[in-house]
Amino acid sequence: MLAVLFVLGMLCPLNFAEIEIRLLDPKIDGVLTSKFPNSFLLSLPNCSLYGDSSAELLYTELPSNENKTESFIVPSCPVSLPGFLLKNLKNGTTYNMQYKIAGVNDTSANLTTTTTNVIDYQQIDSGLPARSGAMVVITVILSVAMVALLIGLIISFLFSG
Amino acid sequence: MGAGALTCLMFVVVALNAIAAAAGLALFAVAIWVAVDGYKLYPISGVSGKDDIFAAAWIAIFTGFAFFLTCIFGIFAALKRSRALMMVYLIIMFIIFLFECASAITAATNRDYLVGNSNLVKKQMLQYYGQDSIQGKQITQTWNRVMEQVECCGADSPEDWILYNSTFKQIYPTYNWPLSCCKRLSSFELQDPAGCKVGLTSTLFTKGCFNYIESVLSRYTWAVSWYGFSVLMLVFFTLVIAMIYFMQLE
Repeated sequence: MLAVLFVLGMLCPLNFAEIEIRLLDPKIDGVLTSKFPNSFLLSLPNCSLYGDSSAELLYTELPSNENKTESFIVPSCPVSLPGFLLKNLKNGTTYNMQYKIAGVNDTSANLTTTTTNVIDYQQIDSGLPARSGAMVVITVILSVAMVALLIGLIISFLFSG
Repeated sequence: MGAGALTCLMFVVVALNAIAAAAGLALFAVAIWVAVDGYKLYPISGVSGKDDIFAAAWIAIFTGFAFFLTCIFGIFAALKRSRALMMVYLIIMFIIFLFECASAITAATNRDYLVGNSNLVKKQMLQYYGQDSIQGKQITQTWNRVMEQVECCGADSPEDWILYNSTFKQIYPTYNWPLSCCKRLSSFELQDPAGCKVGLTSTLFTKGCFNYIESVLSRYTWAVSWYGFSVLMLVFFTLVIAMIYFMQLE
């Protein structure tokens, strides 16, 4: 039984191998972030298996179902940039993405993510956050000292001689 | 009060005035250091109109020197045992005391406005960095210098440039963050332009610049307000003893 399975497995062609597709992870891949307002940073197809082949990234904008394709050449090992930058996207929109290697018909699974939204900088509240302890201490003690000196001056001018 | 005790009190007044004169001169010097702004961060407070830390430093320059001169006059007045001169001395010292109080309180309060949290600095950076106005050019120059020297990017992190829209993004939409955020070689060329554009953490400065800006502005504020406060406490004590001496003169 095991031998049959082994033979079947060996006969299984590499055509059905899946290309890995994922967003780059800041902790593993050493990037700042992979989701931008207008682009995504995706993992490249394996350089040792697909290096120097031409590939396509098919992506669909979800609400409108607009299909687009980006063609590129998979860089050979060793790679200088660990990711593929998919540009010219819209903020806050969900996209479906899939890799396809030309000629060999290898595809990846579908990756669905949303680009980030930008906040307008005018919305940042730059008012006084809080009064620090130092400021309160200095103000209180100096105000008390000013009043004490004034009273002392008045007393010394009135009650002297 | 006996003659011996009066002489003793006179010497105490003279000694305290001498110390206060030296302290006033030191306040003058420290306030000049703040006003000169060696760290060149004035545009960050000037552009938003909240430059009272520097205004307080200018007041402290004048009050520090005035303390020095008036305390020397006070030594002279105490040695002469003159009521009229001591009265003049007390009134002038009180007026200078009021101005120096104003300087110390202003500096401490204004620091809270500017660097209590990173919001004001961040909003200013997003609004003015890359803008073509006079303020824009000043802010751009200041931030470029800070980012390159301190090796930082953005107010809290480079993600400030991604989370918010900014004047810079409108002018250069293909760049996620300014090129000053990228690491450079000793020849000043970019180490890895493509990697920095995409966000490789090995080619980009990832810490925020707010900590540095906050520490410099706090240092200026502590120089003016805390040192001013300690000079004022010394002067308060001196004036109380001088008033007692004045009351014992005939």
